[in-house]
Amino acid sequence: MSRKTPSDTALLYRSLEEQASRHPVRTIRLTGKGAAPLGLLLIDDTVPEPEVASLLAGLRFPDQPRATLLGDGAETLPDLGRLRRQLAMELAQVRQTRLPCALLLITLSGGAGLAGQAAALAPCLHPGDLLSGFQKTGLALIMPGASVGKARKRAEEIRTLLRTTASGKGTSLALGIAVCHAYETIPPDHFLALAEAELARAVKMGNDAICQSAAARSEDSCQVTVEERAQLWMQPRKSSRAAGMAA
Amino acid sequence: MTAKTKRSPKIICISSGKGGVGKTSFSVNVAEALSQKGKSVLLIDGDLGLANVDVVLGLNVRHTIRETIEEGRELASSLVEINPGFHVLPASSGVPEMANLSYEEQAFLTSSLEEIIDRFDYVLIDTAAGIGDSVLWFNTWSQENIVILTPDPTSLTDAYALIKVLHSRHDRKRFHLLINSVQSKKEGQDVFANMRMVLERFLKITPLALGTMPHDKSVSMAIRQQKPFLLGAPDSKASLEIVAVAERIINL
Repeated sequence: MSRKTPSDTALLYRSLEEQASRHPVRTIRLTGKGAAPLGLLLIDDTVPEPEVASLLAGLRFPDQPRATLLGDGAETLPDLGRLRRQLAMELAQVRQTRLPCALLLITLSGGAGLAGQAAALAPCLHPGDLLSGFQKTGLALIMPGASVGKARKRAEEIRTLLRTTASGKGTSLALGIAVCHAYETIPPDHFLALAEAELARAVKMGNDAICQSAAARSEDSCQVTVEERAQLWMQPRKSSRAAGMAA
Repeated sequence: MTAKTKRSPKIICISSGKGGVGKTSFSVNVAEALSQKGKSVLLIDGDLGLANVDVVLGLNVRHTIRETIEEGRELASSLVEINPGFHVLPASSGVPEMANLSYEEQAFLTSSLEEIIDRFDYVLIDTAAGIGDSVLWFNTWSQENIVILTPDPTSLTDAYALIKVLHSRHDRKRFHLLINSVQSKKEGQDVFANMRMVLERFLKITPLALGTMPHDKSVSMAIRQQKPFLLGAPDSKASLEIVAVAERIINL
């Protein structure tokens, strides 16, 4: 939304992705080295996976398959380094597009391995998501455009799905969410730390808890304080006439 | 539309925090003053749910921003020419949904606006009162932020609250203050000095003085006649000051 970038392709892509999510199509971002996508692919949901892979290979975007195409082995999950880089890009997008971004951290102990968890999550992934490995035993899911409410709802869907697929004795699940809003400036590491804190809280609570970062939004940070009011009203003033320039 | 060549317009948001302090009257008249100085101006009614620019100008508009949001109608078709250098983009009145646009609708409106603004030198946005989403969004979309306040404590507090939100949450640092409805030049200067002191002490930002507008009967007369006071009473104190303010805006 900044006037420094009048032609905001990222914003356009977000809007297209949002619209596409309501249709039976798969949306794949084609990103280059920069933060902005180079293009957007819309592929009919009925196209088989191998054909999609072949198509992408033909386009020479080998590292492009994002969350919606993941799940065929732990080795395809982006590592923590890529997660950090992607977080930096998404947080830059938050400031530019004014759309929020959520980060969901998941740990599932006693169930399937990382690859199995990633594969199990596939039905819950949305276009534009990025799924990554996190600290060897967990998963991190970046959800661009997700507000606190949306992120919470999606976390609940994921919890239901993982409970179903990883049912059995000794399995325990914990989910931690952090959300960055447009009015905040959060460095990627801090954003990750917020989500980690929520995950730790969820682990401590047990019972497959979902915890979300309330600290990310300090509602009272802009409250006009008593001291500020006192200073503003320091000198008694004549009341201006309402008729002035009121419109 | 006379000017079709692409320009890089200066986008200026006009807000106040409190309602009824003269935002719309100021916006309309400063747009008129800029157009009289040969500038091409677009005035956007940013009060999307309770529009007033059309009322102040006595316009009977057929299409508004609402049709663009809801029906995908081209924004350019809603433009109203006041004079060759002054166009208005009207909004709807009495439509609560328009006052609470979703992120997606805001994004769509932004891209629609960016298609039409490059034919103007100045884009002025007369926002709603308060600190709602649309007010904050228009303010962050703009390059310059004008905050209008009167000497009333309620206006001072609300203007300060608006600046605090824009600064704390949206990293805005440059605010131009216009003190309206003052009884004397000195009263305006005192109000500005006090506000500057509070902003510097608590928010560590120094506001810029855009001017002081005197309380002037010709203003209320012009509003009732539904035309800019700059046209109805060009020699009034308010008109002389608005011309000076327009000059300062050109020099921003």
